[in-house]
Amino acid sequence: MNEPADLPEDELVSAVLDDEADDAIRARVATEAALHERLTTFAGLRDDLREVAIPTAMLDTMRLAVLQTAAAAAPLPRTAPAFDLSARRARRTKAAGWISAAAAAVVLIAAIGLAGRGGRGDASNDASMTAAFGTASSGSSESAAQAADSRGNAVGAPPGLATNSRSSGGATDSGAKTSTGATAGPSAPPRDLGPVADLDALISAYRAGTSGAPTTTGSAMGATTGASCRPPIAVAVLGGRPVQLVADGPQVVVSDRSTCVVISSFTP
Amino acid sequence: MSSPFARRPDARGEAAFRPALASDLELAAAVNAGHPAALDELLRRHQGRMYTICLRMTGNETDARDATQEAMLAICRGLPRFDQRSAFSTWVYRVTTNACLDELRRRARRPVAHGSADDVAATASSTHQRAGGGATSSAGDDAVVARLTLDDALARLPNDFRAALVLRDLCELDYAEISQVLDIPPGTVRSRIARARAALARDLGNQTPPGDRPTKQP
Repeated sequence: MNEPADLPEDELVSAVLDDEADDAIRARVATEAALHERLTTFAGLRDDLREVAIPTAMLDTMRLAVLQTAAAAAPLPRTAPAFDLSARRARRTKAAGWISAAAAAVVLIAAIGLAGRGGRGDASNDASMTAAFGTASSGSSESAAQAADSRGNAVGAPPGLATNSRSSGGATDSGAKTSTGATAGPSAPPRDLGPVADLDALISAYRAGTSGAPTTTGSAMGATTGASCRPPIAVAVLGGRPVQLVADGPQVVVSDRSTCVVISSFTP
Repeated sequence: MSSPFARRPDARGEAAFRPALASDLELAAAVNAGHPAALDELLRRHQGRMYTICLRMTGNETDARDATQEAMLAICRGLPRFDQRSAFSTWVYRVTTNACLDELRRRARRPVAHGSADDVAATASSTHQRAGGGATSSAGDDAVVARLTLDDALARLPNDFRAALVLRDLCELDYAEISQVLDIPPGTVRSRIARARAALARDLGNQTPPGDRPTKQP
């Protein structure tokens, strides 16, 4: 690097103007007229260079626009966030896991409880629950048939009746007197008359185990097929065909157990 | 200088931040701490100087506006990476200078070359002024020689020379700081500034370098 004294004269003058020169150079520029004149020229150029009209209003508008653009493009870094989103997200995930586990436990307990009730012999309940969970194929054919009964009852009966049917385990006419004259419990199963050859044998078998007329539980028999889908008071196999006996006012309706199609009726 | 943070905490229990009272470095730290008003204050403080740099570097207001806007955006993006090894203003000038050089490169790729007759006329109609010392061109040349304005003369300088001169005369950076901004040795800074001034003086009428004149000996 050149010694300061060896620098071109313009550099000496420029260094003096910029206060980057030592005393010797400064003295030389001050004493040499040409250098001093050059210094004056350079100083004038500098002053002219600094004269700029600053459009403050335009710059203010530009600054605001830039701030908006920057804020939209990337949020400003925050070392002290008002909300720790990651922690909140972790807590939310943990809470969701607990809720899911609790819900699964409730469903499991309910299923076990209902299965236990079904295991005590309430085939209707079992079938109803089976149907409710969409696994009717897992039950026996008779249970499946009775599940169909329950579904039909729920469809054909008024909403309140259907609700009672499901909530009380299928005993829609709970508390009502059966054809035996006794008060049937909410979980009383239908009487199984076994296989019979024909309708007369069925009526005879029914009458053999009952006395008196069944209690009226609904509308007249012929008014609706819904009556034939009520919970039966007895079941049988009529000539190889599963049938059920449903109390309908003073009569007993014999219907197909799976389709609820009325086959016949009789007065006990 | 008093603290930019008021002693009495606000409703949230945090000290209220007063950007107008803060230094540049305090504002920069406040921006990174999530005070948007600090960024606004920082840009407001330096926008005038940034625009001046851009105007002198690019030579026209349109390009100066574009470069200033780019520089502001670059500051917003780069502020988290500001390491405080230099003065904040030095960093701002570096960012602004780079934005100007980028703008000049873009302009160089445009089909219409800068310095055309229309451009000179448009530039001459703005705030340009004649250089100090007076135009001393000969009478015969007056009709031919363009009335070069300062910006025109600046435009004739190589970009690196112009950048060094602008950083010195407008931003008042010393040679060491300019050396940092432009990443060149301080001796080169001194040389470029001197040659840039000499070229301006020549173009604006002060054409006789001191070495060609008789000097008075003490």
